[in-house]
Amino acid sequence: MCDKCGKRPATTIIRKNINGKYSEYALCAECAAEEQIFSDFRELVPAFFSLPEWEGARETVCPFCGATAREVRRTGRAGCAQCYKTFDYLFDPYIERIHGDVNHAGTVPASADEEITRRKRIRELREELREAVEKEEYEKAATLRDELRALEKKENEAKEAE
Amino acid sequence: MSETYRDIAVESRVRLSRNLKNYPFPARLGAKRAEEIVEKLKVKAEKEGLAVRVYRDQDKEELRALAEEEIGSADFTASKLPRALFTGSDTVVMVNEADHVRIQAVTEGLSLEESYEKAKKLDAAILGDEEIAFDERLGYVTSSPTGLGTALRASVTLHLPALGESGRIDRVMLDADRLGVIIRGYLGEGSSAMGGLYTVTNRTTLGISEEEILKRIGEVAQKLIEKERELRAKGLSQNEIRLTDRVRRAAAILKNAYAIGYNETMLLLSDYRMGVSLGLVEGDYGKMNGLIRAVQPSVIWNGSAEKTELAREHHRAEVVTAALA
Ligand SMILES: [Zn+2]
Ligand SMILES: [Zn+2]
Repeated sequence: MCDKCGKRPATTIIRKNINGKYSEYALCAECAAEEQIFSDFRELVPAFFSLPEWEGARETVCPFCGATAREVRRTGRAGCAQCYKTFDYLFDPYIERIHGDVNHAGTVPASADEEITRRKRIRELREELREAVEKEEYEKAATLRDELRALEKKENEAKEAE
Repeated sequence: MSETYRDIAVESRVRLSRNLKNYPFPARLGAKRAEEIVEKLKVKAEKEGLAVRVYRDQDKEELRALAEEEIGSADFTASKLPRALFTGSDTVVMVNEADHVRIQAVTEGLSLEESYEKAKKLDAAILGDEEIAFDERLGYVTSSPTGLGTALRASVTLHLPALGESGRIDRVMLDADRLGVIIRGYLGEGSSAMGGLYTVTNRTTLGISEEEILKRIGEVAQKLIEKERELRAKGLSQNEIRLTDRVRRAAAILKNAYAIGYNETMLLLSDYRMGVSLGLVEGDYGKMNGLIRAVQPSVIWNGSAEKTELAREHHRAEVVTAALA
């Protein structure tokens, strides 16, 4: 008999890995199918295909990973981080429906922290450099320019890598 | 949170999803780059003392075993990519599942902060030197938009037989949903929970901080625990003889059975556990938590030399009586 509903005969043995420990259930076909869906939060989100059709109808392709709009629509998933920008017209309304109209409010990884700090420093340096030139402090300006160039180079490298 | 409510809270689990910058997600990654990720993270895992298992498409034998085992992670099973499992005593890291890295930590009782600390430590140890896919607006970028932001799932498994039997759990489920919190049967759905076990999980991950998620899940869990305790106390005062009889019978069967099915075991464990919390019988929460897993059909299947149903039921009874002796 099915371990879940207790009503229908069990036809499938399902093994689950919960934190490295295995559990096995004998389930009927219906409950087994349900268990599959329930395993991954996918039941919690509205159907992806209900998204408004994009009017352009031309197939967009992600320049970084090669995912197509059709694939994104079918799977409801991004092929890479860039996909969220490439297919923002698909993802943004979806994200808003799941999470609300919000921005990230949690922690920042160490690597991204560096980037955000760098961008801030570049803005500061540009301002300081402008002031130094205005005040005709050329020696200071030269030092600032060197630091700024080095950071901008890093920034461009990071952009190219993206 | 100092009190861990072990009478009702079984375990607290935290899951973090992470992706490496400059690599497509596993679905579009390709074997060569997947192998690259496995190789570099493997080194870190070994340094951390985790047990490392690497799977590749060509390992037909292991793949077959995996297909049976990993239904909880269809992506991991169905994948043809090189991928890996790193396991510690209370942590599991999955490499190249739906996302490059998925870190899970679990602790007993209501102790989400502790689980989170463990997951965070592992995150730093394995991914501290890596560039992580991150966006200022979307947070940690995950393959599924459902997990963006903190990419954190926090869940607490609770034993709520009184709430379940009272039918009030459905109402609570609706209220929780408005907070972005989901309550569902540990095995099963809605109010049809196996052995009175329910799981409380966050639905949203974006626009909310890690601390806030843990706090919210913790608060909902605590409310449920208080309600459950209240209902149990009420049940006890109104019907002490019946309730004591039920609990003692459960204990007696669990300690003396010679062959027992899975469903019956879970029902009796539920009664027994409740009896222990009300002081009606003696018992140890750690042992009972362990039994929830140990009596599961797969574990019994593996441990039983003969595979007939009766042999398995007999083996299950041995496991239960030994644990509760
Ligand atoms: Zn069934
Ligand atoms: Zn892409």
